[in-house]
Amino acid sequence: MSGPYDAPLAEVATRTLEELCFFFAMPLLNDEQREAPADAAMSVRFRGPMSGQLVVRFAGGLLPMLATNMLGDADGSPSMQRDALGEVANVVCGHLLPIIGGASDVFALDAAQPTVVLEHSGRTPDAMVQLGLEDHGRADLILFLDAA
Amino acid sequence: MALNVLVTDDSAVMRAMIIKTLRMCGVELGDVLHASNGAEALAVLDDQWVDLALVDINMPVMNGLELLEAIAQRDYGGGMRTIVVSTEGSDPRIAKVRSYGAEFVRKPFTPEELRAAVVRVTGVAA
Repeated sequence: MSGPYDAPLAEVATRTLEELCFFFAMPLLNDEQREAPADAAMSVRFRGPMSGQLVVRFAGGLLPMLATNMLGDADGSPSMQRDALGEVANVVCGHLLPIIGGASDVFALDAAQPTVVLEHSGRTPDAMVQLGLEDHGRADLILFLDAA
Repeated sequence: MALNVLVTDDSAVMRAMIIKTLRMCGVELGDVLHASNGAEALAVLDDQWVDLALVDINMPVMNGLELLEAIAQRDYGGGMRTIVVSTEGSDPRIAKVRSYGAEFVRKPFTPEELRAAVVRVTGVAA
């Protein structure tokens, strides 16, 4: 089922992955992408007219390539790889909020933090997008809004 | 003219990307200084001459707008120029940035966008 925030999240995520990370993200996943084990997830909390958090999770062993693409040379230490993933979350969140909120709304974004996504926590995301990366990896983008 | 630059962002990856992009654009860099929040940036500015500060907005401890306000209240000789490099998309926030005389570049940026902002604020053509 697709909610009102899925399309803008997919659009922002696809553009960010392309422009910031030089990944061409595909909305249709092959079996390998769909079943790729998760590597790490980073979340950004935001507060303003609406509050919540945006989670970006990479799967399929692509974190070294993410860091390489962003830094332009070495694939970086594990902490730099997590930092790179956090920056992806930060940029996606910063571009998504004016679209789902409004350009006149002011939001405060916290620093990106490592997180674990509990698939069966009982909490339903307000938007979730999965994008295929390379031929074996995946990015999951999950938006949770706090209850008003 | 080589520019002493201070890059303030809580992401080490983003700091590295900004510096790499400046070099790619042919901007002649002198000292390249780092800070991960506004408070660290102020400590650097109190200690070293900086021609150009590139500043994120959303940072822990002291954010970019608080840093711009602190810079405005101090005397750094009037020679330092500032570019805010942020994901910020809020019109009031961007207007606030510009009210301090800073340029604004939105992440993710192209080398051309960053170079153009550097030329606008410093007058130094790369």
